[in-house]
Amino acid sequence: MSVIVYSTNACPFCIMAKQYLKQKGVSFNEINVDEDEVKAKEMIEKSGQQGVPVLDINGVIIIGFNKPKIDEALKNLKD
Amino acid sequence: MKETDCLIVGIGPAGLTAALYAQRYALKTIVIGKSLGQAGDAIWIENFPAIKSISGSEFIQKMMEQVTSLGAEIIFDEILEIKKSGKYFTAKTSSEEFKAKSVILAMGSRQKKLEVQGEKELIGKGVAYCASCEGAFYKNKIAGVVGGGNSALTAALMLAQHAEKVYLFHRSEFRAEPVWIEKVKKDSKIEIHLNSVIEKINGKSKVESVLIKENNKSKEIKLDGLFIEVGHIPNTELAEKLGVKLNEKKLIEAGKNMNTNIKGVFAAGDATGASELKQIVVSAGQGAIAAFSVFNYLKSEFNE
Repeated sequence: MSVIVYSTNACPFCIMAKQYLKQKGVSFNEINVDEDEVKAKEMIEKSGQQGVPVLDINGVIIIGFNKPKIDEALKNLKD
Repeated sequence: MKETDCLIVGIGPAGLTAALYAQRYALKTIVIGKSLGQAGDAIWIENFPAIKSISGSEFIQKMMEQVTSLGAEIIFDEILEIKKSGKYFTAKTSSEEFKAKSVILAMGSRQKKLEVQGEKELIGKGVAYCASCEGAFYKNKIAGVVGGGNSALTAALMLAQHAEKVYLFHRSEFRAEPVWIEKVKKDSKIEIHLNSVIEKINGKSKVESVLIKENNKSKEIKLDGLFIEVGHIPNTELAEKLGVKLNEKKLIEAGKNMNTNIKGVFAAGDATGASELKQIVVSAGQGAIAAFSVFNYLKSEFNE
């Protein structure tokens, strides 16, 4: 299982998304797109937009801190 | 169902300071909110005592850490409904229910939309509402900001650190603090367009240009993104449904103890009409007063 969180330094919804995953005990790779232009491009290609955060939960792309979608993607992982 | 002494709605300076004080009064406290509010979006906070400069997201994170370390619980979710039943209040999110002896409404405000053609279609594709989040994407690009308050001017200044050029559009005169106006005027990368109204945002898969009307003359300006910072609307729909009295601006009518017309319901921060000055330091102060009022209320109503 792979969970990636694309975020920027000062983005409130990124903070919420990361804290939410931590609360659920989900480990994730955090990519700071402020500092990594290649990864920023990768995020834009995956999500078709440049708003942050973008979550990649085993290939399921979620834009923003969308709790129901995060829960669903995590549930599908476990099932 | 989770039970609590004090249910606080809103994770901003008002709600979190209320939570801090509620901890001092040894009240069981739950704070619920769906965002980190306007303060969380702030690029630089430079007018809070003892702190020279801090980003809004760091400031709110520190507040959250402080209150959770003292025992308050913070939940990231949207409260869909609050009801009074007898002496208690019940509230629910999409997944949980709560029973509270008192409520502090501190849900602040949300950003206004510009309401022009192209805005909705191009969100995340150049149209943005948070310069601190997306500013870094404008390295060597051309960005625009619309608005005339502190949020708009700090967004322009922050973007100018990355972008090749920043246009700042506003329909009338700036209403930001004079220190920000001075800085914007001195920044060689920022081009100011006053008396300018955005009429349309153009672009197919991303923002390409904006059509503006400046002093009644239309012109098209090419840019890669537009940050919208045109003011706020109070988040008081939930309060209104609960029966809390609002003023003509849809702000909660709060008394000097941050009390509302409903017994056991208090309010603090930008969602109230208690202060014309909408600032973190004001919201924090009101949050402290609201918590103190809850403490007194619980003592008299629940003999605690």
